[in-house]
Amino acid sequence: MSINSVDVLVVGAGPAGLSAAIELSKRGATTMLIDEQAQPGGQIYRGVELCGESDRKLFGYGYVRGRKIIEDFRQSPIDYKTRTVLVSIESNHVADIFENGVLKRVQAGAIIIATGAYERPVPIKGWTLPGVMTIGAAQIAAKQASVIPSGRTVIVGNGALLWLLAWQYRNFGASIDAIIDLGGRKQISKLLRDFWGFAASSYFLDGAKYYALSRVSTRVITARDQVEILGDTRVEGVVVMQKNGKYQKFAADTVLLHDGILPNTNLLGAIGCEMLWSLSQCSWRPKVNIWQETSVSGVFAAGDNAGIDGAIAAEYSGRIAALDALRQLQILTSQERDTLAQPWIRQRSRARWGRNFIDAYFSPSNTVKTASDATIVCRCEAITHESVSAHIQQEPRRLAHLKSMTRCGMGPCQGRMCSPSVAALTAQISDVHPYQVGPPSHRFPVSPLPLAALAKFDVGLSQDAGKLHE
Amino acid sequence: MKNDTGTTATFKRFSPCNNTVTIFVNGREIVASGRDTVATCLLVAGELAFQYNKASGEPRGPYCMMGVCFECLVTIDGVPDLQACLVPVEPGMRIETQKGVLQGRDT
Repeated sequence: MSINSVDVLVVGAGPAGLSAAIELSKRGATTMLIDEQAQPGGQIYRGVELCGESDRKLFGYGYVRGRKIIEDFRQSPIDYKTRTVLVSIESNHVADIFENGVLKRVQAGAIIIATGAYERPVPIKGWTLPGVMTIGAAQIAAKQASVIPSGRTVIVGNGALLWLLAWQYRNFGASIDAIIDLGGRKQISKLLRDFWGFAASSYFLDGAKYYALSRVSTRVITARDQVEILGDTRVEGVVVMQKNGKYQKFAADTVLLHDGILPNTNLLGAIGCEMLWSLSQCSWRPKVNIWQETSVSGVFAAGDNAGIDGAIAAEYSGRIAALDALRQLQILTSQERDTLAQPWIRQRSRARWGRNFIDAYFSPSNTVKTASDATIVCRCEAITHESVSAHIQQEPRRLAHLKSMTRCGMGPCQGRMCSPSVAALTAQISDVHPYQVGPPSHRFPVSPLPLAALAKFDVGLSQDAGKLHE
Repeated sequence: MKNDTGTTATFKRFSPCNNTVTIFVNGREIVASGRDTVATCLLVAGELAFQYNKASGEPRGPYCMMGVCFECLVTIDGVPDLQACLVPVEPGMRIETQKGVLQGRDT
């Protein structure tokens, strides 16, 4: 069986992966880029290639920047495989990929993982009803095919994206009946410390614009207590219960949730990369050095999956990872790498200005902590808050134990929708810090694939019996 | 906005689609956009529950729209448990919402 050989395998076609691939191919490295989606751009630049000219500006916030990156990408000699996922990597960088129903083996010199971010799950009662989705999902629908809700829409959550979406929806002509803001009291002293970085950043003027316009044009209710989504077979409304016992009800056909975003680290975890807890972002991220290299030699993490730094910083971290990969492959000398990387390193720092302020201002509300007993925590297996809490009380602090006792994390999403909540609950009930709970453990494959594909996979046993691993 | 069965779809488009594609959703002929994923197309066609949870039997629909939640599972051209949000529409595609998840495959 022939094994494909490349200098660098890049996983993910968002700004980090695209930028890394462009840099690699520009310097003469044979590059393969695989991505689970059908079109390049990741989530932030989804649909930008096919988006109508007049519609592009409706998304604001640098959406059109993605178009230039993708143009450069299309012109670069890169082996680009869509609808392809990384199934596993062995210690010598032999990667198995799943492309169009077929498993293939790739020998890479270095690997850059750029799997981006996803929305922190927002477990409130009724969140599993059809018609309830994340703000990210709403933006994806709009970017993909100009799709918006046609009925009554209520937003429930906390975070900068609430205000960006409200602004975008005004541009699309989508009405928002209410924004229920779960953001807690702001810690002024912490905010003041980070304010100057924010003021000098690109987020300041745009962010202020979205926030101000949305607050004056939309009904905003602050809710620090119980919020529940109502409905039987689909979403019908939202009820907000205030401390004084009074409640407000909103009819809704669509409910959009948000409570910040998390690095998508399942693949990095399965590879064995060491994880760090980010205090400011309340999430796990891989430990990386200045070159974005993880604790696993020759494996890099670039973009939001290495920590939420935004789309612009992602481009630079992709470039930086590419340059060190090139040095490791001896295509560049250390000196050449340092010279070429200098402007990217400077820009990466600049692009991060203002993030600390945004993180502090919108620190996660972690709805699971105040969720009612019947609230579902594990969506795949339909496991409730009550059940998870009871098990944590019996056997505190052991995530793996909880998984085997409740099945939390055993469904197809592999813990993406439940482990952040389970970890937050464990920390709360056991009265420990989240980092003491530890990151969830992951194993290959991090995306489900049919057994038949594995059965048909020819790893050349007939040729080299007993010599699977050199 | 009413679809063929007379029920009101919860989603619509803010820009007309220039490039249309004809597909079938639960036997109904639907005109989709060439830019649609199966998920966006189903939402505009008035489908909200794509499958029923294997543990609780409750109806579920798309939540993340990007491939991490595994709620948008549908059957496409006879192949079950495919994530609708990851699959672009193609002419003549036959899509069915489904009863459960991980129903198994013949091949």
